[in-house]
Amino acid sequence: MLTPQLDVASAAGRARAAQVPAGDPVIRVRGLRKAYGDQFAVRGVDLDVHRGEVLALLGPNGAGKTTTISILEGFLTPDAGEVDVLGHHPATAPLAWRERVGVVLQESAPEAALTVRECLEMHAGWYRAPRDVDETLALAGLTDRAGRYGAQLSGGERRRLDVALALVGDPELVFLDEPTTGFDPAARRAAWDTIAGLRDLGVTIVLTTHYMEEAERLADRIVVLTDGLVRAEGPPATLGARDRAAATVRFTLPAGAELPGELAARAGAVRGRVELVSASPMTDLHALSGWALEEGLELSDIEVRRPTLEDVYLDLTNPTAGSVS
Amino acid sequence: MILHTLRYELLSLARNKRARLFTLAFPILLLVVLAGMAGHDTRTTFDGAGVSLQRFFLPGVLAMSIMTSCFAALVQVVVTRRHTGIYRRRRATPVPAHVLVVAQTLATTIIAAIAATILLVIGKAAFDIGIAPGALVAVAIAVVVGALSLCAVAFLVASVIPTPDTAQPVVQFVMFPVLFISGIWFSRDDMPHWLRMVGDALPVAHLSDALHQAVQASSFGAAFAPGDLAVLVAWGAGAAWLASRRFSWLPSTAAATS
Repeated sequence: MLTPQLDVASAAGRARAAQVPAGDPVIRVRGLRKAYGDQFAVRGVDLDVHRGEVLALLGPNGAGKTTTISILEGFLTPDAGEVDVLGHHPATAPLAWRERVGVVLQESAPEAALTVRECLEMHAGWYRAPRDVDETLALAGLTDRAGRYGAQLSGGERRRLDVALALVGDPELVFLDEPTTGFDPAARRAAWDTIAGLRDLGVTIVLTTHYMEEAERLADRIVVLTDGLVRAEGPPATLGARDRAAATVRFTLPAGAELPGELAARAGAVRGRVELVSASPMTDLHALSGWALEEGLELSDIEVRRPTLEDVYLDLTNPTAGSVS
Repeated sequence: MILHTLRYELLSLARNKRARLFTLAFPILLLVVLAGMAGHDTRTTFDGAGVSLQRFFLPGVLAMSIMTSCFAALVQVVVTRRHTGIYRRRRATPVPAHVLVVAQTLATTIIAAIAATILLVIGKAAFDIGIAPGALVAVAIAVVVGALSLCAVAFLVASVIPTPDTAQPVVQFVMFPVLFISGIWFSRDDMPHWLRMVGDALPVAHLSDALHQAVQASSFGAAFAPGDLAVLVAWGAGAAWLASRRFSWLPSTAAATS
Protein backbone atom coordinates (compact mmCIF):
# COMPACT_ATOMS: atom_id res chain seq x y z
CA MET A 1 0.00 0.00 0.00
CA LEU A 2 2.95 2.28 -0.46
CA THR A 3 2.35 3.72 -3.89
CA PRO A 4 -0.95 2.35 -5.21
CA GLN A 5 -2.95 4.60 -2.93
CA LEU A 6 -2.30 7.54 -5.18
CA ASP A 7 -3.84 5.64 -8.04
CA VAL A 8 -6.98 4.92 -6.09
CA ALA A 9 -7.28 8.50 -4.92
CA SER A 10 -10.63 9.97 -5.74
CA ALA A 11 -11.02 12.32 -8.64
CA ALA A 12 -12.90 14.71 -6.38
CA GLY A 13 -9.96 14.87 -4.01
CA ARG A 14 -7.51 15.61 -6.79
CA ALA A 15 -9.73 18.27 -8.25
CA ARG A 16 -10.09 19.89 -4.89
CA ALA A 17 -6.37 19.86 -4.25
CA ALA A 18 -5.82 21.61 -7.53
CA GLN A 19 -8.52 24.23 -7.10
CA VAL A 20 -8.08 25.45 -3.60
CA PRO A 21 -5.36 27.96 -2.85
CA ALA A 22 -2.99 26.89 -0.10
CA GLY A 23 -3.19 28.82 3.14
CA ASP A 24 -6.96 29.18 3.04
CA PRO A 25 -7.98 28.75 6.71
CA VAL A 26 -10.05 25.64 7.36
CA ILE A 27 -10.12 25.91 11.15
CA ARG A 28 -9.94 29.10 13.16
CA VAL A 29 -10.14 29.03 16.95
CA ARG A 30 -9.79 31.98 19.30
CA GLY A 31 -9.89 31.97 23.09
CA LEU A 32 -11.38 28.50 23.36
CA ARG A 33 -12.37 27.55 26.88
CA LYS A 34 -14.02 24.48 28.32
CA ALA A 35 -14.39 23.38 31.93
CA TYR A 36 -15.85 20.26 33.50
CA GLY A 37 -17.28 21.44 36.76
CA ASP A 38 -14.58 23.67 38.23
CA GLN A 39 -11.84 21.79 36.38
CA PHE A 40 -10.58 23.61 33.31
CA ALA A 41 -9.69 21.34 30.39
CA VAL A 42 -9.05 24.08 27.85
CA ARG A 43 -8.16 27.57 29.10
CA GLY A 44 -7.91 29.83 26.09
CA VAL A 45 -6.61 28.05 23.03
CA ASP A 46 -5.97 29.83 19.72
CA LEU A 47 -5.53 27.64 16.68
CA ASP A 48 -5.38 28.05 12.92
CA VAL A 49 -5.31 25.19 10.48
CA HIS A 50 -4.76 25.93 6.81
CA ARG A 51 -6.07 24.02 3.87
CA GLY A 52 -3.95 21.03 2.89
CA GLU A 53 -1.96 21.21 6.11
CA VAL A 54 -1.25 18.38 8.53
CA LEU A 55 -1.40 19.70 12.08
CA ALA A 56 -0.34 17.53 15.01
CA LEU A 57 -1.66 18.28 18.48
CA LEU A 58 0.79 17.04 21.09
CA GLY A 59 0.57 17.12 24.83
CA PRO A 60 0.47 14.89 27.88
CA ASN A 61 -2.73 13.12 28.90
CA GLY A 62 -5.12 15.69 30.33
CA ALA A 63 -3.58 18.58 28.39
CA GLY A 64 -6.84 19.23 26.55
CA LYS A 65 -6.14 17.56 23.19
CA THR A 66 -9.24 15.40 23.06
CA THR A 67 -11.42 18.15 24.52
CA THR A 68 -10.20 20.50 21.79
CA ILE A 69 -10.69 17.96 19.05
CA SER A 70 -14.14 16.97 20.37
CA ILE A 71 -15.18 20.61 20.17
CA LEU A 72 -13.84 20.86 16.61
CA GLU A 73 -15.77 17.69 15.72
CA GLY A 74 -18.96 19.18 17.13
CA PHE A 75 -19.40 16.64 19.93
CA LEU A 76 -18.72 19.08 22.73
CA THR A 77 -19.93 22.64 23.23
CA PRO A 78 -17.27 25.08 24.42
CA ASP A 79 -17.89 27.46 27.30
CA ALA A 80 -16.34 30.40 25.51
CA GLY A 81 -14.36 31.35 22.45
CA GLU A 82 -14.76 31.54 18.70
CA VAL A 83 -14.72 28.33 16.71
CA ASP A 84 -14.98 28.13 12.95
CA VAL A 85 -14.54 24.86 11.10
CA LEU A 86 -15.20 24.99 7.35
CA GLY A 87 -17.35 28.06 7.83
CA HIS A 88 -19.51 26.76 10.66
CA HIS A 89 -19.51 26.48 14.41
CA PRO A 90 -19.25 22.70 14.76
CA ALA A 91 -21.82 22.50 17.58
CA THR A 92 -24.52 24.09 15.41
CA ALA A 93 -23.36 23.06 11.93
CA PRO A 94 -25.96 21.53 9.61
CA LEU A 95 -25.75 17.83 8.73
CA ALA A 96 -24.36 18.75 5.31
CA TRP A 97 -21.22 19.95 7.14
CA ARG A 98 -20.60 16.33 8.12
CA GLU A 99 -20.30 15.45 4.41
CA ARG A 100 -17.00 17.34 4.43
CA VAL A 101 -15.51 16.14 7.71
CA GLY A 102 -14.08 12.71 8.54
CA VAL A 103 -13.56 11.63 12.12
CA VAL A 104 -11.40 8.92 13.70
CA LEU A 105 -12.36 8.83 17.37
CA GLN A 106 -9.93 7.89 20.07
CA GLU A 107 -11.99 4.82 20.85
CA SER A 108 -14.83 3.23 18.96
CA ALA A 109 -15.75 -0.43 18.74
CA PRO A 110 -16.42 -2.06 15.38
CA GLU A 111 -19.95 -3.09 14.40
CA ALA A 112 -19.40 -6.63 15.62
CA ALA A 113 -21.85 -8.51 13.39
CA LEU A 114 -21.12 -6.64 10.15
CA THR A 115 -18.21 -7.42 7.87
CA VAL A 116 -15.69 -4.69 7.11
CA ARG A 117 -17.26 -4.23 3.68
CA GLU A 118 -20.82 -4.13 5.02
CA CYS A 119 -19.87 -1.58 7.65
CA LEU A 120 -18.27 0.62 4.98
CA GLU A 121 -21.27 0.19 2.69
CA MET A 122 -23.63 1.22 5.49
CA HIS A 123 -21.61 4.36 6.23
CA ALA A 124 -21.15 5.12 2.51
CA GLY A 125 -24.93 5.09 2.12
CA TRP A 126 -25.21 8.03 4.50
CA TYR A 127 -23.17 10.35 2.24
CA ARG A 128 -24.37 12.08 -0.90
CA ALA A 129 -21.09 11.51 -2.77
CA PRO A 130 -19.13 8.79 -0.98
CA ARG A 131 -15.75 7.47 -2.01
CA ASP A 132 -15.96 4.08 -3.70
CA VAL A 133 -15.96 1.32 -1.07
CA ASP A 134 -13.25 -0.76 -2.80
CA GLU A 135 -11.13 2.34 -3.18
CA THR A 136 -11.57 3.12 0.52
CA LEU A 137 -10.66 -0.45 1.48
CA ALA A 138 -7.46 -0.13 -0.56
CA LEU A 139 -6.68 3.28 0.91
CA ALA A 140 -6.89 1.90 4.45
CA GLY A 141 -5.11 -1.36 3.59
CA LEU A 142 -8.17 -3.49 4.32
CA THR A 143 -8.78 -5.07 0.92
CA ASP A 144 -7.91 -8.55 2.15
CA ARG A 145 -9.94 -8.09 5.31
CA ALA A 146 -13.17 -6.99 3.61
CA GLY A 147 -15.03 -10.18 4.47
CA ARG A 148 -14.12 -10.26 8.15
CA TYR A 149 -16.68 -9.56 10.84
CA GLY A 150 -16.01 -6.62 13.12
CA ALA A 151 -15.77 -8.96 16.09
CA GLN A 152 -12.91 -10.87 14.45
CA LEU A 153 -10.66 -7.89 13.77
CA SER A 154 -7.35 -7.38 15.54
CA GLY A 155 -6.65 -4.08 17.27
CA GLY A 156 -4.74 -2.72 14.29
CA GLU A 157 -7.44 -3.82 11.85
CA ARG A 158 -10.13 -2.14 13.94
CA ARG A 159 -8.17 1.08 13.81
CA ARG A 160 -7.77 0.78 10.05
CA LEU A 161 -11.51 0.26 9.81
CA ASP A 162 -11.98 3.46 11.81
CA VAL A 163 -9.74 5.24 9.34
CA ALA A 164 -11.62 3.73 6.40
CA LEU A 165 -14.94 4.86 7.89
CA ALA A 166 -13.59 8.38 8.27
CA LEU A 167 -12.52 8.41 4.61
CA VAL A 168 -15.53 6.78 2.98
CA GLY A 169 -17.33 10.13 2.83
CA ASP A 170 -14.46 11.60 0.79
CA PRO A 171 -13.90 14.39 3.34
CA GLU A 172 -11.80 17.51 2.86
CA LEU A 173 -10.94 17.69 6.57
CA VAL A 174 -10.06 14.69 8.74
CA PHE A 175 -9.64 14.49 12.52
CA LEU A 176 -7.46 11.63 13.71
CA ASP A 177 -7.42 11.17 17.48
CA GLU A 178 -4.44 8.89 18.23
CA PRO A 179 -4.83 6.97 14.98
CA THR A 180 -1.97 4.49 15.51
CA THR A 181 -2.12 3.77 19.23
CA GLY A 182 -1.54 0.05 19.71
CA PHE A 183 -0.08 -0.53 16.23
CA ASP A 184 2.99 -2.64 15.65
CA PRO A 185 5.82 -0.81 13.83
CA ALA A 186 4.90 -2.20 10.39
CA ALA A 187 1.25 -1.25 10.78
CA ARG A 188 2.27 2.21 11.94
CA ARG A 189 4.41 2.71 8.83
CA ALA A 190 1.49 1.62 6.68
CA ALA A 191 -0.82 4.06 8.47
CA TRP A 192 1.67 6.86 7.94
CA ASP A 193 1.69 6.10 4.23
CA THR A 194 -2.10 6.28 4.20
CA ILE A 195 -2.08 9.62 6.00
CA ALA A 196 0.69 10.99 3.80
CA GLY A 197 -1.35 9.86 0.80
CA LEU A 198 -4.33 11.85 2.09
CA ARG A 199 -2.21 14.95 2.38
CA ASP A 200 -1.10 14.48 -1.20
CA LEU A 201 -4.79 14.52 -2.13
CA GLY A 202 -5.17 17.92 -0.51
CA VAL A 203 -7.02 16.68 2.56
CA THR A 204 -6.50 18.83 5.65
CA ILE A 205 -5.59 16.71 8.66
CA VAL A 206 -5.65 17.37 12.39
CA LEU A 207 -4.12 14.56 14.39
CA THR A 208 -3.25 13.93 17.99
CA THR A 209 -0.53 11.49 18.91
CA HIS A 210 1.83 10.42 21.64
CA TYR A 211 4.45 9.28 19.13
CA MET A 212 7.03 11.95 18.34
CA GLU A 213 8.22 10.09 15.28
CA GLU A 214 4.67 10.15 13.96
CA ALA A 215 4.37 13.90 14.45
CA GLU A 216 7.78 14.47 12.91
CA ARG A 217 7.01 12.32 9.87
CA LEU A 218 3.53 13.59 9.15
CA ALA A 219 3.01 17.05 10.55
CA ASP A 220 3.66 20.30 8.73
CA ARG A 221 3.10 22.01 12.03
CA ILE A 222 2.97 20.94 15.66
CA VAL A 223 1.00 22.54 18.45
CA VAL A 224 1.98 21.49 21.96
CA LEU A 225 -0.76 21.77 24.58
CA THR A 226 -0.15 21.67 28.30
CA ASP A 227 -2.73 22.39 30.99
CA GLY A 228 -5.25 23.54 28.42
CA LEU A 229 -2.99 26.16 26.85
CA VAL A 230 -0.88 26.30 23.69
CA ARG A 231 2.65 25.90 25.00
CA ALA A 232 4.56 26.00 21.73
CA GLU A 233 3.84 25.91 18.06
CA GLY A 234 5.88 25.45 14.90
CA PRO A 235 7.19 23.08 12.26
CA PRO A 236 8.78 19.91 13.68
CA ALA A 237 12.29 21.07 12.71
CA THR A 238 12.15 24.34 14.63
CA LEU A 239 9.68 23.62 17.45
CA GLY A 240 10.81 25.09 20.74
CA ALA A 241 13.87 26.67 19.00
CA ARG A 242 15.09 23.12 18.48
CA ASP A 243 17.19 24.18 15.48
CA ARG A 244 19.03 26.71 17.57
CA ALA A 245 19.49 24.52 20.63
CA ALA A 246 22.94 23.24 21.57
CA ALA A 247 24.13 19.97 20.08
CA THR A 248 25.86 17.23 22.01
CA VAL A 249 29.10 15.67 20.76
CA ARG A 250 29.88 12.24 22.20
CA PHE A 251 32.85 9.96 21.76
CA THR A 252 35.07 7.51 23.62
CA LEU A 253 38.53 8.74 24.46
CA PRO A 254 41.15 6.04 23.74
CA ALA A 255 43.05 4.88 26.84
CA GLY A 256 45.83 7.20 27.85
CA ALA A 257 44.76 10.08 25.63
CA GLU A 258 43.99 13.46 27.11
CA LEU A 259 41.88 16.20 25.58
CA PRO A 260 43.49 19.59 25.00
CA GLY A 261 42.75 22.16 27.67
CA GLU A 262 39.99 24.22 26.07
CA LEU A 263 37.87 21.16 25.14
CA ALA A 264 38.72 19.31 28.35
CA ALA A 265 37.37 22.20 30.42
CA ARG A 266 33.91 21.86 28.82
CA ALA A 267 33.74 18.07 28.53
CA GLY A 268 31.98 15.78 30.94
CA ALA A 269 32.03 12.02 31.28
CA VAL A 270 28.86 10.04 30.86
CA ARG A 271 28.99 6.24 31.16
CA GLY A 272 32.62 6.04 30.05
CA ARG A 273 32.16 8.41 27.11
CA VAL A 274 33.08 12.03 26.75
CA GLU A 275 30.15 14.36 26.31
CA LEU A 276 30.53 17.89 25.04
CA VAL A 277 27.61 20.31 24.88
CA SER A 278 28.29 22.58 21.99
CA ALA A 279 26.57 25.72 20.73
CA SER A 280 28.73 25.63 17.59
CA PRO A 281 29.44 21.99 16.85
CA MET A 282 31.32 22.71 13.58
CA THR A 283 33.96 24.69 15.41
CA ASP A 284 34.28 22.14 18.17
CA LEU A 285 34.42 19.22 15.75
CA HIS A 286 37.11 20.97 13.76
CA ALA A 287 39.20 21.47 16.86
CA LEU A 288 38.55 17.93 18.01
CA SER A 289 39.38 16.23 14.71
CA GLY A 290 42.47 18.41 14.24
CA TRP A 291 43.72 17.33 17.64
CA ALA A 292 42.88 13.65 17.04
CA LEU A 293 44.68 13.58 13.68
CA GLU A 294 47.74 15.19 15.19
CA GLU A 295 47.79 12.63 17.99
CA GLY A 296 47.08 9.78 15.57
CA LEU A 297 43.88 8.85 17.41
CA GLU A 298 40.75 7.37 15.90
CA LEU A 299 37.54 8.51 17.69
CA SER A 300 35.56 5.68 16.08
CA ASP A 301 32.23 6.13 17.89
CA ILE A 302 31.96 9.89 17.55
CA GLU A 303 28.41 11.23 17.15
CA VAL A 304 26.80 14.63 17.02
CA ARG A 305 23.27 14.76 18.27
CA ARG A 306 20.77 17.58 17.93
CA PRO A 307 17.95 17.53 20.49
CA THR A 308 15.24 15.23 19.10
CA LEU A 309 11.65 16.31 18.88
CA GLU A 310 11.08 14.13 21.92
CA ASP A 311 13.76 16.02 23.89
CA VAL A 312 12.13 19.31 22.98
CA TYR A 313 8.67 17.98 23.72
CA LEU A 314 9.65 16.63 27.13
CA ASP A 315 11.27 19.93 27.90
CA LEU A 316 8.18 21.86 26.86
CA THR A 317 5.78 19.67 28.79
CA ASN A 318 7.88 19.36 31.91
CA PRO A 319 5.83 21.20 34.53
CA THR A 320 8.94 22.33 36.42
CA ALA A 321 10.56 23.91 33.35
CA GLY A 322 10.34 27.61 32.68
CA SER A 323 8.27 29.08 29.88
CA VAL A 324 9.54 28.85 26.34
CA SER A 325 9.78 31.75 23.98
CA MET B 1 -31.82 6.08 3.83
CA ILE B 2 -33.99 4.39 6.47
CA LEU B 3 -34.30 1.27 4.31
CA HIS B 4 -30.57 1.32 3.62
CA THR B 5 -29.80 1.46 7.35
CA LEU B 6 -32.55 -1.04 8.20
CA ARG B 7 -30.88 -3.64 6.01
CA TYR B 8 -27.66 -3.52 8.02
CA GLU B 9 -29.51 -3.36 11.34
CA LEU B 10 -31.39 -6.53 10.40
CA LEU B 11 -28.13 -8.24 9.43
CA SER B 12 -26.60 -7.21 12.76
CA LEU B 13 -29.55 -8.52 14.75
CA ALA B 14 -29.97 -11.74 12.81
CA ARG B 15 -26.29 -12.59 13.30
CA ASN B 16 -26.27 -11.79 16.99
CA LYS B 17 -26.09 -15.12 18.83
CA ARG B 18 -27.08 -13.59 22.13
CA ALA B 19 -30.14 -12.00 20.59
CA ARG B 20 -31.14 -15.29 18.96
CA LEU B 21 -30.79 -17.08 22.26
CA PHE B 22 -32.81 -14.63 24.33
CA THR B 23 -35.44 -13.50 21.90
CA LEU B 24 -36.03 -16.80 20.13
CA ALA B 25 -34.60 -19.89 21.80
CA PHE B 26 -35.62 -18.94 25.32
CA PRO B 27 -39.28 -18.12 24.55
CA ILE B 28 -39.60 -21.32 22.50
CA LEU B 29 -38.19 -23.34 25.36
CA LEU B 30 -40.52 -21.61 27.77
CA LEU B 31 -43.56 -22.23 25.58
CA VAL B 32 -42.71 -25.90 25.18
CA VAL B 33 -42.08 -26.40 28.90
CA LEU B 34 -45.09 -24.39 30.13
CA ALA B 35 -47.58 -25.68 27.58
CA GLY B 36 -46.20 -29.18 27.91
CA MET B 37 -46.54 -29.11 31.70
CA ALA B 38 -49.99 -27.60 31.64
CA GLY B 39 -51.55 -30.33 29.53
CA HIS B 40 -54.98 -29.91 27.97
CA ASP B 41 -57.19 -30.05 30.97
CA THR B 42 -55.75 -27.62 33.45
CA ARG B 43 -57.72 -24.40 33.34
CA THR B 44 -57.39 -20.81 34.47
CA THR B 45 -59.34 -17.65 33.65
CA PHE B 46 -58.80 -14.57 31.55
CA ASP B 47 -61.08 -11.64 32.21
CA GLY B 48 -63.44 -13.95 34.06
CA ALA B 49 -63.79 -16.49 31.26
CA GLY B 50 -62.35 -19.96 31.57
CA VAL B 51 -59.45 -20.93 29.36
CA SER B 52 -57.11 -23.91 29.15
CA LEU B 53 -53.75 -23.20 30.69
CA GLN B 54 -52.08 -24.13 27.41
CA ARG B 55 -53.98 -21.50 25.51
CA PHE B 56 -53.29 -19.06 28.33
CA PHE B 57 -49.55 -19.50 28.11
CA LEU B 58 -49.20 -18.84 24.38
CA PRO B 59 -50.01 -15.09 24.49
CA GLY B 60 -48.08 -14.85 27.74
CA VAL B 61 -44.94 -16.19 26.12
CA LEU B 62 -45.58 -13.95 23.08
CA ALA B 63 -45.69 -10.89 25.33
CA MET B 64 -42.57 -12.00 27.16
CA SER B 65 -40.73 -12.56 23.89
CA ILE B 66 -41.61 -9.06 22.73
CA MET B 67 -40.53 -7.59 26.02
CA THR B 68 -37.23 -9.45 25.83
CA SER B 69 -36.33 -8.36 22.30
CA CYS B 70 -37.86 -4.88 22.22
CA PHE B 71 -37.09 -3.85 25.76
CA ALA B 72 -34.35 -5.86 27.48
CA ALA B 73 -32.17 -6.61 24.45
CA LEU B 74 -32.71 -3.20 22.86
CA VAL B 75 -31.75 -1.32 26.04
CA GLN B 76 -28.59 -3.39 26.23
CA VAL B 77 -27.69 -2.79 22.58
CA VAL B 78 -28.37 0.95 22.75
CA VAL B 79 -26.38 1.46 25.94
CA THR B 80 -23.51 -0.64 24.61
CA ARG B 81 -23.40 1.16 21.28
CA ARG B 82 -23.35 4.50 23.04
CA HIS B 83 -20.70 3.38 25.51
CA THR B 84 -18.35 1.89 22.91
CA GLY B 85 -18.50 4.91 20.58
CA ILE B 86 -20.46 3.24 17.78
CA TYR B 87 -23.20 5.88 17.99
CA ARG B 88 -20.70 8.70 18.18
CA ARG B 89 -18.95 7.42 15.07
CA ARG B 90 -22.27 7.15 13.27
CA ARG B 91 -23.21 10.67 14.33
CA ALA B 92 -19.93 11.90 12.85
CA THR B 93 -21.50 11.14 9.46
CA PRO B 94 -24.34 13.12 7.82
CA VAL B 95 -26.92 10.50 8.84
CA PRO B 96 -29.88 12.18 10.58
CA ALA B 97 -30.61 10.97 14.11
CA HIS B 98 -34.16 9.91 13.27
CA VAL B 99 -32.86 7.55 10.57
CA LEU B 100 -30.77 5.70 13.14
CA VAL B 101 -33.61 5.48 15.66
CA VAL B 102 -36.27 4.46 13.16
CA ALA B 103 -34.07 1.86 11.45
CA GLN B 104 -33.07 0.28 14.74
CA THR B 105 -36.65 0.29 16.00
CA LEU B 106 -38.00 -1.25 12.79
CA ALA B 107 -35.29 -3.93 12.74
CA THR B 108 -36.07 -4.84 16.36
CA THR B 109 -39.80 -4.92 15.63
CA ILE B 110 -39.34 -7.10 12.55
CA ILE B 111 -37.22 -9.58 14.49
CA ALA B 112 -39.83 -9.59 17.29
CA ALA B 113 -42.58 -10.25 14.74
CA ILE B 114 -40.61 -13.14 13.24
CA ALA B 115 -40.12 -14.62 16.72
CA ALA B 116 -43.86 -14.22 17.39
CA THR B 117 -44.68 -16.00 14.12
CA ILE B 118 -42.42 -18.90 15.04
CA LEU B 119 -44.06 -19.15 18.48
CA LEU B 120 -47.53 -19.17 16.92
CA VAL B 121 -46.50 -21.90 14.49
CA ILE B 122 -45.05 -24.01 17.30
CA GLY B 123 -48.19 -23.41 19.37
CA LYS B 124 -50.31 -24.74 16.54
CA ALA B 125 -48.02 -27.58 15.47
CA ALA B 126 -47.01 -28.90 18.87
CA PHE B 127 -50.02 -28.09 21.05
CA ASP B 128 -52.81 -27.56 18.54
CA ILE B 129 -53.47 -24.03 19.79
CA GLY B 130 -55.36 -22.80 16.74
CA ILE B 131 -56.28 -19.16 16.20
CA ALA B 132 -59.14 -17.95 14.05
CA PRO B 133 -57.97 -16.07 10.90
CA GLY B 134 -59.70 -12.84 11.96
CA ALA B 135 -58.19 -13.12 15.42
CA LEU B 136 -54.78 -13.65 13.85
CA VAL B 137 -54.97 -10.17 12.35
CA ALA B 138 -55.65 -8.79 15.81
CA VAL B 139 -52.68 -10.76 17.17
CA ALA B 140 -50.46 -9.29 14.47
CA ILE B 141 -51.61 -5.75 15.24
CA ALA B 142 -51.05 -6.24 18.96
CA VAL B 143 -47.57 -7.66 18.34
CA VAL B 144 -46.50 -4.74 16.15
CA VAL B 145 -48.04 -2.01 18.30
CA GLY B 146 -46.63 -3.59 21.46
CA ALA B 147 -43.18 -3.98 19.90
CA LEU B 148 -43.02 -0.38 18.69
CA SER B 149 -44.27 0.92 22.03
CA LEU B 150 -41.73 -1.07 24.03
CA CYS B 151 -38.92 0.04 21.69
CA ALA B 152 -39.77 3.63 22.54
CA VAL B 153 -39.73 2.79 26.25
CA ALA B 154 -36.35 1.08 25.73
CA PHE B 155 -34.81 4.22 24.22
CA LEU B 156 -36.18 6.22 27.15
CA VAL B 157 -34.78 3.80 29.75
CA ALA B 158 -31.46 3.66 27.86
CA SER B 159 -31.23 7.43 28.09
CA VAL B 160 -30.93 7.25 31.89
CA ILE B 161 -28.57 4.24 32.08
CA PRO B 162 -24.92 5.33 31.97
CA THR B 163 -23.03 2.09 31.18
CA PRO B 164 -23.63 -1.45 29.89
CA ASP B 165 -22.70 -2.76 33.32
CA THR B 166 -25.64 -0.99 34.90
CA ALA B 167 -28.01 -1.86 32.05
CA GLN B 168 -28.19 -5.54 32.93
CA PRO B 169 -29.34 -5.19 36.57
CA VAL B 170 -31.67 -2.27 35.79
CA VAL B 171 -33.33 -4.21 32.99
CA GLN B 172 -33.73 -7.34 35.14
CA PHE B 173 -35.04 -5.28 38.02
CA VAL B 174 -37.69 -3.73 35.80
CA MET B 175 -38.51 -6.80 33.75
CA PHE B 176 -39.15 -9.54 36.29
CA PRO B 177 -41.71 -7.81 38.51
CA VAL B 178 -43.43 -6.39 35.43
CA LEU B 179 -43.66 -9.81 33.81
CA PHE B 180 -45.11 -11.28 37.01
CA ILE B 181 -47.87 -8.74 37.42
CA SER B 182 -48.73 -8.47 33.75
CA GLY B 183 -50.71 -11.70 33.37
CA ILE B 184 -47.99 -13.56 31.56
CA TRP B 185 -47.51 -16.53 33.86
CA PHE B 186 -50.43 -15.98 36.26
CA SER B 187 -53.90 -14.79 35.41
CA ARG B 188 -54.48 -11.20 36.44
CA ASP B 189 -57.98 -12.29 37.50
CA ASP B 190 -56.57 -13.82 40.66
CA MET B 191 -54.46 -10.84 41.65
CA PRO B 192 -55.38 -8.37 44.37
CA HIS B 193 -56.98 -5.18 43.18
CA TRP B 194 -53.98 -2.93 43.87
CA LEU B 195 -51.66 -5.18 41.89
CA ARG B 196 -54.05 -5.07 38.95
CA MET B 197 -54.01 -1.29 39.22
CA VAL B 198 -50.21 -1.27 39.06
CA GLY B 199 -50.30 -3.57 36.05
CA ASP B 200 -52.91 -1.37 34.35
CA ALA B 201 -50.62 1.61 34.67
CA LEU B 202 -47.81 -0.16 32.78
CA PRO B 203 -47.73 -1.11 29.11
CA VAL B 204 -46.84 -4.80 29.32
CA ALA B 205 -50.11 -5.85 30.99
CA HIS B 206 -52.01 -4.20 28.15
CA LEU B 207 -49.88 -5.96 25.57
CA SER B 208 -50.48 -9.23 27.39
CA ASP B 209 -54.24 -8.55 27.73
CA ALA B 210 -54.55 -7.59 24.06
CA LEU B 211 -52.79 -10.80 23.05
CA HIS B 212 -54.87 -12.95 25.47
CA GLN B 213 -58.06 -11.47 24.12
CA ALA B 214 -56.94 -12.01 20.51
CA VAL B 215 -55.77 -15.58 20.99
CA GLN B 216 -59.03 -16.59 22.65
CA ALA B 217 -61.46 -14.86 20.34
CA SER B 218 -62.99 -16.38 17.24
CA SER B 219 -63.45 -13.22 15.15
CA PHE B 220 -61.55 -10.01 14.53
CA GLY B 221 -64.24 -7.97 16.26
CA ALA B 222 -63.97 -9.98 19.44
CA ALA B 223 -60.19 -10.25 19.21
CA PHE B 224 -59.40 -6.59 18.70
CA ALA B 225 -58.67 -4.72 21.93
CA PRO B 226 -58.71 -0.98 21.15
CA GLY B 227 -58.53 0.07 24.79
CA ASP B 228 -55.34 -1.88 25.48
CA LEU B 229 -53.81 -0.79 22.18
CA ALA B 230 -54.60 2.84 22.95
CA VAL B 231 -52.68 2.55 26.23
CA LEU B 232 -49.74 1.01 24.36
CA VAL B 233 -49.79 3.81 21.79
CA ALA B 234 -49.95 6.40 24.56
CA TRP B 235 -46.97 4.81 26.34
CA GLY B 236 -45.04 4.59 23.12
CA ALA B 237 -45.75 8.18 22.13
CA GLY B 238 -45.00 9.50 25.62
CA ALA B 239 -41.76 7.54 25.87
CA ALA B 240 -40.69 8.61 22.38
CA TRP B 241 -41.33 12.24 23.20
CA LEU B 242 -39.41 12.09 26.47
CA ALA B 243 -36.60 10.07 24.92
CA SER B 244 -36.26 12.59 22.10
CA ARG B 245 -35.53 15.21 24.76
CA ARG B 246 -33.38 13.15 27.08
CA PHE B 247 -31.53 10.73 24.85
CA SER B 248 -27.84 11.31 24.20
CA TRP B 249 -25.74 9.59 21.55
CA LEU B 250 -22.57 10.21 23.52
CA PRO B 251 -21.49 8.48 26.71
CA SER B 252 -21.90 10.58 29.83
CA THR B 253 -18.25 9.96 30.64
CA ALA B 254 -17.15 11.54 27.36
CA ALA B 255 -16.82 14.81 29.20
CA ALA B 256 -14.35 13.37 31.67
CA THR B 257 -11.70 12.36 29.12
CA SER B 258 -9.59 15.14 27.78
